[in-house]
Amino acid sequence: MSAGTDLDAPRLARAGLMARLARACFAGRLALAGTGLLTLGCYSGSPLASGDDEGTTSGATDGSSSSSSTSSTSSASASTGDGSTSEGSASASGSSGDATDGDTEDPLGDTTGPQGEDPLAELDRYTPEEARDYLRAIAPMVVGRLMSPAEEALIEHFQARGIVPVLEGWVEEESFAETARMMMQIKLAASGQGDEIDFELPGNLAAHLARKGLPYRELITSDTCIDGGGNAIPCDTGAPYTAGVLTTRAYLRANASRFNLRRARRMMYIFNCLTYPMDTELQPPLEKSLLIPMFRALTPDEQTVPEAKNGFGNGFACYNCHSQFGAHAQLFVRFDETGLYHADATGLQDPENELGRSQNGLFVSHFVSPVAAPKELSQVFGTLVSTVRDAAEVLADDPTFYECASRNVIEWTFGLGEAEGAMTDRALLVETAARALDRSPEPSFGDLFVATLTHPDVIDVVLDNPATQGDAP
Amino acid sequence: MDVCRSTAKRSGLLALLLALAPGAGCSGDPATSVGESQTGEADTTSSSGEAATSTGGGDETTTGDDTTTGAPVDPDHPFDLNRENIRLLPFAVRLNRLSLLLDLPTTDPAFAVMLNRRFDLGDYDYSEGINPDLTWSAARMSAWVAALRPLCASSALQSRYPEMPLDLPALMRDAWGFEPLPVDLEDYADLFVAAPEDDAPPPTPGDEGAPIHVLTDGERAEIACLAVLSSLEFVSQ
Repeated sequence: MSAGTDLDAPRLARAGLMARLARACFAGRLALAGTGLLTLGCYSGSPLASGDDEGTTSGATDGSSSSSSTSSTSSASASTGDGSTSEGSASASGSSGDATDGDTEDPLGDTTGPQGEDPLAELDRYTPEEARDYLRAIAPMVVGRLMSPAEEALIEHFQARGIVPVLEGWVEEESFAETARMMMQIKLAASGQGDEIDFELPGNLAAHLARKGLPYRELITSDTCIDGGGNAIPCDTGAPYTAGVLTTRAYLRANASRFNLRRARRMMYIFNCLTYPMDTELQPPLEKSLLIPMFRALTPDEQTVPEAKNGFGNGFACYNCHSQFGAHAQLFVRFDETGLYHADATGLQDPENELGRSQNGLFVSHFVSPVAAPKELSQVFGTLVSTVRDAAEVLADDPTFYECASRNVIEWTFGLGEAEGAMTDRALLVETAARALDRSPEPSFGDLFVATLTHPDVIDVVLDNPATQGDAP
Repeated sequence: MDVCRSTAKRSGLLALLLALAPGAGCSGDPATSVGESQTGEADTTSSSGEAATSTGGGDETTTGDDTTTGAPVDPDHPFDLNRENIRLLPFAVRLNRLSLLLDLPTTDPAFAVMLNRRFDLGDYDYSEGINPDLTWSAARMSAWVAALRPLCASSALQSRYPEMPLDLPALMRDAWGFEPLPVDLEDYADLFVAAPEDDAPPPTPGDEGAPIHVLTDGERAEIACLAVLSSLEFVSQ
């Protein structure tokens, strides 16, 4: 390691690293003290040096722009972030990766932590070589390229603590928006241009949210869709409300199936990593009497519908899952198989069609009542909702939402299939979700990537180090 | 350790040879096939939803496809990287890396073959029912090498690395992101060991008695380029 080498500050500034380096430098002061790095690495002589020395003032000048790049770890921002992040991560403006904004902001404004706490200390267990190996391994999937010389230099000088500012820089690059696009395109199985349907809309929204540092939850709560040029446009279903990707014809068509089961199932799986049957404490089952008869059965003997008894579905134990499925599938009862909204949907079985199909390309409700069947009224996680949009808010408010988002980040970054990703230890996801929420009350794609990919347990997997689960704060 | 991976990982040249050998290659195991490795779910259907609507109704009343979060397979780690299987980088990422390496926009004609064969190379278009495929099969290796040839022959690459084998380490470093080790260069030694004869005759197909063709400098440089850019260091996750 070339400890005596000075940093090329102008070059790093051009690379958009200066402000982040300063934050990392400050956060890492305690650990660097005595190593010799403090004197060479903390920008003495740079415009940032004085700010560094002045310490812990909060980031009054950049409160709105710092949310996506707030201090490096969860614990650091916990005590100070609330005030300045209340205006939200939504407007995180630093998407350019250009250091010019970094040069004008208070580089230390968002590094305040509890007295005496060194939030980056957990990374000190890694050598610079390990840090580089780790970042080299994940760079292509996060930012579509190799590590830059400036980033290599950062690790050289700040050792493994540099992992955080490097990642924070990556998620501000334009190519990260394309990463978010690909990640969600593949997750949602939606891309390209159909004859009638723009399958790019979900990916456009994901890229837009990542590019602008907007909350990840807007994937399913956004009031608009985004066109190929990044402009807000109405979504394409004709519904009187919008719920991000959930109300795109791309999602609805790709997941169309009888009884709207697949739409419901993929929604719960992609955004909350939940499968049926769920914990009934989380998702209270619908009363049997509310369901059409075929979904009431708990045993083969209870199945009274011949089609169901003779091989349709599993023929028994229907109620266990469909008492929950039904509540979620109901949200899609007015969307036909091509994703178009029909206010006049009945939710009733078309007697001329196969089971689960209603008229006009619509699908059948789980509700037996002809009054309830056509309505979008339902309950999600015990909360009454009247549209998919309402449901999306409930899903996004549930703790499983960001745990699942973190799992999606792991799946994407490490090329895991869903079956492999599903084996991720829940405890890790709980921690990474908490870290993301510490970065911002409404974490962005960037927050989720940084929080997840800077967690030591994740780094250990890549480096094939022995497990250290539970060691991380 | 997967033999195929370990061998190919060490040698771009071997990977290239594997690519050109009919029936050879590292296809990985079925777990790395497209739908499972990227979209994951067992019930992944085409994006049009037709599969789901026309055939999926029956199984949609069951619930067993999605997998709940469970205990990690590897007790030492909170998730398993499945290091035994080769997974390519997404096509768009590979394309971007080439563009950055050569400092050429992907609209440059040198990328035409690659873009025309993007789906052979694992890219996706769900609207057409084409899922991503990140397996490194013999067919995909062959397609990748074919798509690389215009790039390796481009003035952009040749102006950056004009002297082979002198510039080979630089090409490796720029392509892979780290300095090549001596072992990485070993396989290329034979390629450049003998200077070509200027008057060496070209091979005559079918003429077994013809003199062995000695590679020209340009051919050696192209092979080295193809090998470096087909190596797992460049194309895989």
